Amino acid sequence: MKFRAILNDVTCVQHLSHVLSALVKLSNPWTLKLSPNKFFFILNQRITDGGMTVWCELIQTSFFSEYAMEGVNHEDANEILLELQLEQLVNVLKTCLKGCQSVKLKLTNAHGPCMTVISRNSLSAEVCSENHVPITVIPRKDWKYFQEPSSPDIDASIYLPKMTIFKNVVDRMHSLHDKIGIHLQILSANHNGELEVCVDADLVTVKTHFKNLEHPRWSGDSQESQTRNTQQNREFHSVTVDSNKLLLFLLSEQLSPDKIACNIKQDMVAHLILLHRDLSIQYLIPACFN
Amino acid sequence: MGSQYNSENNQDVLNATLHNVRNLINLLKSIKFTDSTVLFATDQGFKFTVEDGKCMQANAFLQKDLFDFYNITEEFIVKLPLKVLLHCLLIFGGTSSTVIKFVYEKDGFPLHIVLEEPGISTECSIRTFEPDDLLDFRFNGQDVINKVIMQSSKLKEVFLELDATSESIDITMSPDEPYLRFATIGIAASTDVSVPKNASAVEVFQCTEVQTFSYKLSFFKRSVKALALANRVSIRIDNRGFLSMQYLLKTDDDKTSFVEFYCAPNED
Repeated sequence: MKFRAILNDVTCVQHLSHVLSALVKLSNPWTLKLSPNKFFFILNQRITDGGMTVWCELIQTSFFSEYAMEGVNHEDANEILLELQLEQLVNVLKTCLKGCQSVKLKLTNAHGPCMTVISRNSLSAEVCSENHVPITVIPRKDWKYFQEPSSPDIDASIYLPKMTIFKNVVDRMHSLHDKIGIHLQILSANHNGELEVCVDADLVTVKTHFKNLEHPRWSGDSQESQTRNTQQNREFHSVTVDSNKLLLFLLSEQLSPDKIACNIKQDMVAHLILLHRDLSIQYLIPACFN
Repeated sequence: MGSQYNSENNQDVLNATLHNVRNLINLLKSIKFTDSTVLFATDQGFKFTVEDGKCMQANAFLQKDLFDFYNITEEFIVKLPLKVLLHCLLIFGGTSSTVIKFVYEKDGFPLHIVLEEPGISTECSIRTFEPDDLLDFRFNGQDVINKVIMQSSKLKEVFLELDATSESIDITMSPDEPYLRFATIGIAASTDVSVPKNASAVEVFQCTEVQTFSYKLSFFKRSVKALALANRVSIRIDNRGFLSMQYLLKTDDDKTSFVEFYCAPNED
């Protein structure tokens, strides 16, 4: 089991620490999965902790100039899974930004298993700092808990509108609730470019309607869309979610995503997918019932 | 979209449209110091009233001519949750491109608000309540003894000088020196600031008698938001010592709306 990767210059270090800072806001700790071409940050909460699932996929070539890993087993399990306090890693990367140029990450056994971060001055190659972030290796028998979420059999799929306005709408609706209790919001979408966000509070009911939105095309759903008639296209499918969780996800706006898709499985789950040149984040919010 | 209040209904008590939500937001922000406000919808337009401690009252006016469309069949008074109303108005961030429409069906029904931006619309239905009894300050123009109208920037300067730790503020208005004087007594020191009659910021100066009255400083703190948004301010004191401060707010279309604060003098 080996891992070694190099961030060549300050821009790369900045890029990675920017992405990881956004993830830290969602949760801490995270499970990190390393595979030959990609690396993943995975969150798989139990239902008692909120039941949220986050699957973040980063393309290693977008961040690292060198990347070498050897998994647990070369043939059928060329991967490494470990748990770490992502916040610690982010803090270390941020200190590396000061003065030093290149950063090397590697798995070591310095004080127990660690992700060791070595920063160097790129001109003199002199080591500026060496930090160890403790990790816990996840045994192979537990890997089954960290599988990519299978796309549920969705009822509607739509791209979210411009983030600044969508976030403001969700934010304001959230504030309409009283301080106590879970704040619920209803997300509804159809196959006609329309998305609705609703809130039903004590003093007010509010419904925001977005139209002329685009629909993502997922592999395998082309046939179905042809067989739907106009009425079926206009039918809304909705899911009630905890608005705190929705707002948490919307913080990832800071990564300036290309697009965010919203998949709805009626009364089951809201599956949000953030698409970006260098990464993608899948975020599953389970339905709440009231 | 099948909305029940998207089309104008002749049965509705009120149907009104504004092409720019910002002005209304500013007015309401300047009186946002209680949880609820009382809306008076009349032939003249909207008046929003809030009160604090039964010694002060603030009224924000949105006159009929500021609306693009205004149709009222019967005047009405309702109490509305102010913060909720503001959250609704700010749902698209309070940009000037937001068009807003008000519909009030009849007594006891919620107030419907529809906000629109290209490609987006929001429908809000806000619960209405029976209004509380409001104070009547019986402040009439003919009982006014002293009156000064000046640019609000001058009053901002004055407020910066005053001691915020003081409980009350004394206002003197007089035909001779010191003309218009504000004085506070704080923990550390007493401060007073005078505005001369011929200062460039003073536009109207009509003082006939010497009057000095004391008011709660908290009253002035309540009007700081209105002051920040205003261009001009009118300060009047009547024969009972009641104070009226009117803040004139310029709208985006060069029209004027205003916020008026009434305050009773302290009794010694």
